[in-house]
Amino acid sequence: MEFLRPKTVEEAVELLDHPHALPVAGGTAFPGKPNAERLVDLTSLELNYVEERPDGFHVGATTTIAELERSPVAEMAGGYIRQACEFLADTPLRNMITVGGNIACGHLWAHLPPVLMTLGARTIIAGKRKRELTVYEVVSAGLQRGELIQEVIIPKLGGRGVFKKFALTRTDYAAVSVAVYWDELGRRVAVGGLVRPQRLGDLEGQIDITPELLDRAVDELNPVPHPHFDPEYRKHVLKVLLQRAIAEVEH
Amino acid sequence: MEICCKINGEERKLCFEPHERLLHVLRRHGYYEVKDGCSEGHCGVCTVLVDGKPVKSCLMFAAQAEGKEITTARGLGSPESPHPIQQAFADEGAVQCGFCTPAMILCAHHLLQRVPDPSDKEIRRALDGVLCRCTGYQKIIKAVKTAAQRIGGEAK
Repeated sequence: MEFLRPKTVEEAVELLDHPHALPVAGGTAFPGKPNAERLVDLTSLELNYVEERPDGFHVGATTTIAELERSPVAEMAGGYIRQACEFLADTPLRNMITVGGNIACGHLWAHLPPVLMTLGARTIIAGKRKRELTVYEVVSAGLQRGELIQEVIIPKLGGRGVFKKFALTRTDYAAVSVAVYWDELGRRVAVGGLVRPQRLGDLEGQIDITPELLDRAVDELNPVPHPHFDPEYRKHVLKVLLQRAIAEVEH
Repeated sequence: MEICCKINGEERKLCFEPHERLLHVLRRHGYYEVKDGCSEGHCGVCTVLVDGKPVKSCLMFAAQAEGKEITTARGLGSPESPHPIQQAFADEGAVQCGFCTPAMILCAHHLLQRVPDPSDKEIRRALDGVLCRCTGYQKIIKAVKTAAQRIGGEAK
């Protein structure tokens, strides 16, 4: 095995174009010995920044959750991103987990993807050719060999967002998570924890969320098995959190 | 592979296999105050400060420590000349088996550097990454408060 520390994105892309290469940053996603022949460290690429520009906040992929939480983007939309960072794992882990990793690993319990989906965030992907993907595209289809998330662009929005999670403890993996963003143009809803993070379009068009509508939207989901909570219980918790988050955000 | 870093103020050269995590490399080089609990990022007893910030050394790759400044509990004080946080932990009975103590002290140190007079909530959040299976946490929280008062008193 080899551990390589490229200094530029171009160099990293070249090194990742290898059948058994694994990009690493925070290192929290895979305890033990990684199943790879080449580890490519992304933390020397200088992708550690949050910049406010006319088209939105540009967040470098290796910005840690602790840094994101203290940046101006965290306070946008009623502290929406701050809420998602607050109990995202624990204090030492928040100093390690990166924004790019939280998206690219595709974990069900990741806090940022549902929030970023409702904000319409885009990711800039570096590879043989540069491309732009939505957070949903990254989470659902993944990246190709030799690609890495370089930056996330979060539009500046003036509405309000609420993030809620249900877990064994505050800092544990989310068994259910909901992210609701609301402004004068309407409501956007995303869920995670029990399924791969995704928008719930059924709950976005209607002004009033009736119990029937909620049942229909949630019953379509097929929760991934969880060691402690059965699927019906988690669906019930999801409905409760959705109702609370929607009521809170539109209050 | 080989890297250079500073550990507790001393320049050190560390040798290890490319896949190894910082925890196991530190212990092999004699830093036994960094404890090996779960090795998968849950218990937090392996926490060290890297450039002043607490991280779980069982998940950080040793290779990423190149050029960094690492602090373990030994770097804060010694039995002859303990750091005020270490003294407060002893005085308040915040140490039982002692396995989580080095990590708790480092997390408390990072908190008090940023927030000299923390609230209960701030203390609880700062320590949320380290599990203690003996004390029930109350005495640890008390010890951090006592340390804050003593350090604040010295500053005045």
